[in-house]
Amino acid sequence: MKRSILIPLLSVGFLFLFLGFWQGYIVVREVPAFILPTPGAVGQKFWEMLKTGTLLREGWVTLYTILIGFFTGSALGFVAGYFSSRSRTFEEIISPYVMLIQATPKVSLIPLFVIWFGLGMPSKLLLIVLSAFFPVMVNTILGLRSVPDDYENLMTVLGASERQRVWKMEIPLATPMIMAGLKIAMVQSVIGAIVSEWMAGDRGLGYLLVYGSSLYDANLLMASIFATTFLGLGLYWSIEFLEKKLLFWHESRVAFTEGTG
Amino acid sequence: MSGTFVVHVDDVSKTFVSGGKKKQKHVHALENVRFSVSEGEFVTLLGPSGCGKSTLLKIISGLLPPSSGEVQIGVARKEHQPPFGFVFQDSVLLPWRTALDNALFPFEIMGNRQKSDAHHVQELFRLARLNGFENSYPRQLSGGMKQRVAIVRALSYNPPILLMDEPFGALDAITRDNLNNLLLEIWESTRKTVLFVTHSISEAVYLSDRIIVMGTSPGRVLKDLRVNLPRPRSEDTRLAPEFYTLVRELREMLK
Repeated sequence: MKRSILIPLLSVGFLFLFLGFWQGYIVVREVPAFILPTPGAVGQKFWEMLKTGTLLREGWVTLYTILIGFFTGSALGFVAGYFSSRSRTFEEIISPYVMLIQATPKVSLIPLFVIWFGLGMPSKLLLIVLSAFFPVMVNTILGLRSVPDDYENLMTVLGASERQRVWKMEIPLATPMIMAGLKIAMVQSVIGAIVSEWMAGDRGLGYLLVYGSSLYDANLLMASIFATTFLGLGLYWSIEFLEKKLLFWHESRVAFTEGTG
Repeated sequence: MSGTFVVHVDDVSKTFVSGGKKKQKHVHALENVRFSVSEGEFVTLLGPSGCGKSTLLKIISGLLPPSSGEVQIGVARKEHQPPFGFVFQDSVLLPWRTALDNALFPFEIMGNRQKSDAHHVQELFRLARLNGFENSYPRQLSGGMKQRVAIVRALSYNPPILLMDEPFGALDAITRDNLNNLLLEIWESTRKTVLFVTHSISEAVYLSDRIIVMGTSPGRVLKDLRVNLPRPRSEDTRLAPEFYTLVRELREMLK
């Protein structure tokens, strides 16, 4: 059989094997349903929550919080990164603080945010903005800094203006690094959103998780976990899709065709 | 200075200062370099690494200021247009643009593209034997082809002077020989003044009308040597005894 058919087939087979083990374990060990429900029960619960609109409603809350926070954080990170890359002195002054904030698990700030801003949107947003800001900032600096000298020299020889230099050369050349930063930022934003809803939220998928846990409703809990997985996956794929479109020219994207000397 | 020159390097020195305020280190990259280049001449700066030949080319193009002395450019300047085309060791093509769009890039920066320019660039593509590859992206081209696109880009706005900083240094020997021949063809049909930097003795002899031989610490001119091999040059040139005599002479000088 062809590899291109065999691999997806085996992948799906693997999933069924996993579900089989899951079901088998419950039957053999007689695990009570409030600890570990069967895959069928979780699926049913998921479908039911989809039908009643719970998942879509709470998922939407989480999604738009992530989107607003991610875009705000990345945009600020890009601007901060751009200006830091302009001045080596400025970068050196702020770099210990950037490192300090990067080393701090952002999640640990949530209790503080709750004191300052209360439960709900502002605390969640602030955490997501912070989570997205730093990876984008650091990668923007790195990307802009690693533009080879001769590209700069070319622009000087051609008499390019500062604006042309930045927009036609430096930022496009830095895009692979910036995209890598955006990917990390997206993963961090999803984590930030779920955890902050969990700790400080009154809405959203993260809140559903705590709710399910407090009710000992393992079905609800696991269905919600799957919903967050799908949400994270979807967002990550969107970024990857954007990357593929933007970086069609990058070495990781284009197959090399042999030319003649 | 009398006579017609296109580039006149007048007593140029360059000192790089590194280190802190207390422990300054002065590196004399170039000391009292002087020579001129006439119109249509193919002149090569030849020397080992560290002799300042690339630095000199950067000073001539205005990328670096000299510490003392000056460079005069004796060509009529067009507005918004540099008198040079510059080819770097790496092709420095924009990977998100096709070969043709890369070649047209200078017009986008200078903002003065005329109708005849597109035709001129097409002609250069043909000269560089790149026709058919106009819509290829740099990733799809070999190293030699990318460097040919870089040459086309440097010549696209028809500058009178072509500066080349070890343009074939990163290529394999066979590709390099082919590109030498191609460069001579382009030079013979466009009649540019070329200043070429290399550390390959045979490449310098094969291409040049004149070779400025440079030595290290401090970087300086050792000899200004005329190459009287007949043109057009070909594979036969490489086999001529005069070719070998010159190569041997230069090798002795650079020991």
